[in-house]
Amino acid sequence: MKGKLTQVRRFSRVSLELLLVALCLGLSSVWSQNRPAVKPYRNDPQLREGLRSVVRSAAESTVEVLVEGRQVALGTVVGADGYILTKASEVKGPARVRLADGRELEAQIVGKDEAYDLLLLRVNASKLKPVRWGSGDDTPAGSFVLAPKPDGTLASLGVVSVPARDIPAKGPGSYPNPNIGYLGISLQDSQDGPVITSVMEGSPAEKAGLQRGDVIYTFAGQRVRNTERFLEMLRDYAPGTTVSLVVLRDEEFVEKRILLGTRPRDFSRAEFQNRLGGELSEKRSGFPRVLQHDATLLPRDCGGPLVNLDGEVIGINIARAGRTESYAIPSEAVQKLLPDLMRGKGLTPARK
Amino acid sequence: MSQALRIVRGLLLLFVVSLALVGPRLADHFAVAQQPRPGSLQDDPLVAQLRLLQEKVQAVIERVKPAVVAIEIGPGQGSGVVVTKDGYVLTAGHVSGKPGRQVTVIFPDGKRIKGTTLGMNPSMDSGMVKLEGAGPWPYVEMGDTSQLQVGDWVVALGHPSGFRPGRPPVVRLGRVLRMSEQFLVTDCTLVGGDSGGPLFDLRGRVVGIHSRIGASLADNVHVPVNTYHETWETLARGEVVIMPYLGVRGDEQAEQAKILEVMPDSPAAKAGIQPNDIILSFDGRKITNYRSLVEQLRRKRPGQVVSVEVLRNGEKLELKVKLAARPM
Repeated sequence: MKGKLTQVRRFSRVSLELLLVALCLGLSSVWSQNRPAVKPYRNDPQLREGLRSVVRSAAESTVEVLVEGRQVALGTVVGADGYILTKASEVKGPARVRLADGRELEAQIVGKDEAYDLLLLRVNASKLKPVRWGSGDDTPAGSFVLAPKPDGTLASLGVVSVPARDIPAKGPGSYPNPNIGYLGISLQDSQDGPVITSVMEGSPAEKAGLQRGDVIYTFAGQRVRNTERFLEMLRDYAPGTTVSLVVLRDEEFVEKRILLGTRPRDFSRAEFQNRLGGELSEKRSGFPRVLQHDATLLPRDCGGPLVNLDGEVIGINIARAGRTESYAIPSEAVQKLLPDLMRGKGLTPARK
Repeated sequence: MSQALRIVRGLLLLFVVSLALVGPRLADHFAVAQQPRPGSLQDDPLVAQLRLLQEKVQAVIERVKPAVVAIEIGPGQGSGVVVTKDGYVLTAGHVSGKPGRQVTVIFPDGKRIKGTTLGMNPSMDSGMVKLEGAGPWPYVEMGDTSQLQVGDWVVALGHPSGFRPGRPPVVRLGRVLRMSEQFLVTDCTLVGGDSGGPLFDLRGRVVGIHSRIGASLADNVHVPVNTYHETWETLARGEVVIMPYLGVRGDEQAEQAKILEVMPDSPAAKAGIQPNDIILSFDGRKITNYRSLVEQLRRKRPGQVVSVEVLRNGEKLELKVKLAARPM
């Protein structure tokens, strides 16, 4: 086995080294070599080649979106008269589009949806081939999904991991927002409230004088009952905000003011593991409704169509969000957004 | 030859060719008669095979989903799977940790149930949890890893990054890339929080438990479910499984149990076993290849003294080995 192994639990107590040693020593730890090795199926050239017939039509509706001559995303043709959807946050400058037939055209921005991170472009072309929509909402977990490129090959393939669902912006079921204020502590629940079990060096918590063993009693004037509730409360505060906090230390209340920071990149174990296996999209959370799949996209492969085994487009790929997760916006949600985007939604009058 | 016959022959030829294209395992799985779905891209055997595979995977997910749980232990979270009606849960050893700890088990519908960690095996990374209350709980069947082959399709479920209300267990598809008695490796991509979650065969039986990952997307390591079968009593009693240790490495491909390497200071080294020795018998049992040696060793306990017959330079020797506990 190549590379370093890391246990797939968020907080591990058994040391990694111990396990590695256990693996390397002793009987029977040798790979059984009497059987042929099998390639990961996503890289199987014959499988990928065989699936070209399925995505042929969708690939003709797929384009490359270029900024300064480099591909930053894929795009999906949604109207014969030059309308193309792509991933907004990847387009950071004047965009050009390379069509499946090789033509390269200048693109105008027509509309934008912030929450879904969708950008509607228009190129001066007619008789383009719009995608054939299927249903994203009705595609069950376990269904094969394919991400075509304009040249008819596959960017990747996988299966639906979680069927289309609404994701609440806040509270239970929501996703951790990377933009919430960062304290730099780890917590454990106790009868009195969350106890600080460690304070990161150089973190906002350390600078504010928080210590290991402190029980967080109130946060911004509100009583904190447990860790879950505390994390929820923290969501409402952006980095750069100063918040007052009362902790219970040696049976006394101590008030501290803390300047929330930003979470250091690649800090957590979870974040580290999530990045094992490839680059992630910069904007990868906050979409109101997504279909989650396990095709291993590159960030620059987002914006293109997601296709089922019938060749129908069931969504638009919108983010590579983790080692195991890619997101697509289900076709129904995309189609609902389209009329507004075509009317110029999300743009200031000056840009229209 | 009539035209109809020629068409049939042409179709058959096409079918055979594309089976060969996908590789033997895919072909094995879908050698059953294929009925193109009306209105679909018919006439393409590969797509027809994938459609069949997809239907099987979807059926497995529907069946097993209710038994795939998240496990909260202190600030950590892992996954697990219920395998008996009365609430025995398989998980990874590094998730359950020490026996006798209080945990909260969360079912996909959000129901939270108290549980206790039972035994674990640190060298295999297997662990067990028992739910409080008599149940009946939704559960799945345990399979047999020895019937699994490299190339078999498998389905991984779990709660990556921990339980999220409203999100069912997350599905990943892959194949068995490599396997040994110690672990299974698949291309079902795993991440933090998946640990302890189940790997299923296409009949919906648990064949592995997620353990660890490497940097490559193809390095996803699972504990073979057979170790849970073999150590069930010990795990269920809440004891730590200590594996016997001999300290040799052998050639798995050779037709005899030939020793390639002897670990320094190991029981084998102390007993005088040397590289290139061929093991003929172990505790009176005939040894035919390295695999059978491993099998015999697994039945012993640390501390046991075992007589080993070896062949060295054409001469038979009888050695006594005192087995140790497998180092961790």
